[in-house]
Amino acid sequence: MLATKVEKKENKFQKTLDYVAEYSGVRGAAVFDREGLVVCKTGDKEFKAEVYAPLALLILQQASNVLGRLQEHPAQTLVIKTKNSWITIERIESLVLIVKAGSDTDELLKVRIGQSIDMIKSNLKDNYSLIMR
Amino acid sequence: MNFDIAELDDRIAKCQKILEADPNSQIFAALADAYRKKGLAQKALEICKKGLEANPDYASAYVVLAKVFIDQNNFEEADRQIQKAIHAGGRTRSVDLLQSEILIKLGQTTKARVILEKLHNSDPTSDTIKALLETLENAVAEPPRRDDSISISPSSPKRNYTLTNALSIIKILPRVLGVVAVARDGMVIEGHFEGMMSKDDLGALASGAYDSIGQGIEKIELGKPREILIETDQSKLWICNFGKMLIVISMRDDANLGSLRLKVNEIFDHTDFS
Repeated sequence: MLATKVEKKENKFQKTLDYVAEYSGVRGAAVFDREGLVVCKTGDKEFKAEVYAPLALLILQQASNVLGRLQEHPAQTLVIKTKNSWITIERIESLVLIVKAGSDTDELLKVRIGQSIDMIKSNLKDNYSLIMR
Repeated sequence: MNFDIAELDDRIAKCQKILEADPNSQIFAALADAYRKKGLAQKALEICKKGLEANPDYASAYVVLAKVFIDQNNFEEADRQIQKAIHAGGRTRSVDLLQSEILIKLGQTTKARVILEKLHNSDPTSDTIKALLETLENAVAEPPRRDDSISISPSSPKRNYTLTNALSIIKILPRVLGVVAVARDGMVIEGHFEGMMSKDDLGALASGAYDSIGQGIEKIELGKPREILIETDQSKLWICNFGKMLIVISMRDDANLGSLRLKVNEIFDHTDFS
């Protein structure tokens, strides 16, 4: 019974990632914690979530250091566009969402990512309220 | 603008009384302005011209004349009158505002921007200046009504922005807090930033952030970043790679990035980075 319940919770994160990944142009997505440990992932073979996760944390930290010097709050969202890729890193409570898409993906991906963030927040609030404190 | 007719009539009566007592009084300008506000442009013109015969150096009269010509959509003549006002009485805040309005109407957006930026820096809260800056922004997207030797309309491919022009325009876009051009060695080339730190510090920090984030991204074989956007709940920092330099734009959190991106791209498409 307990196992079934845990599986159900994990599926909600996975469902969210699948929802992002089904958007045309998305090559991979992952949710990980603040230590870089991957909670769930989806994507093609080139998307190595275990490599992207610690790197994304490092990048978020570097961005926050800059903002700290500017008397600003820590970085909440980071968007990096290269010749071929469009990476979005989003801090959501105690977790981090990373989405990798092709650079030619249309801008409506931002809406899809926004919806996914809401889904993750809702899941955290409903099922993981303790770790949100 | 709506004026109280009774109040205007009262003002006209008082001015006329003074003018009758002293035909050379400078009150004629106020009288002309009251007639202008009543919609009697011709009467205002006659009073001003007659009054200027006795007071040829009275700047306020030229200002009233400029306003009359603005009301008549004769911006060339309004420009001539405002020049006379400046010549006679020097620059004042109201003269600068009026001149910028005329320049916008004439399509001389660069000159208008220089004046408005100065006014905006001295009084960032003024709604009038903000409104004029907004008008200016809209005017930039339209072809100028008359040729302007230093104007730079993005709608005309023959004209190019200098880096200075481009950054000045970006700085006055809605919700933009600052913009800095940084060389690849971290030295600031040019910029406008009114934050807690200097533009040099902002440039160095943004350049450092770009390099370290870029190194991280290259580790996963994604190549050099073309642009990086960092968002907090208070603001956004946008770093764009333009080859020889980085353009760093700091903006409020409620900035419309899509719209800003379009405008910035449009401006930089016509910017000479050499």
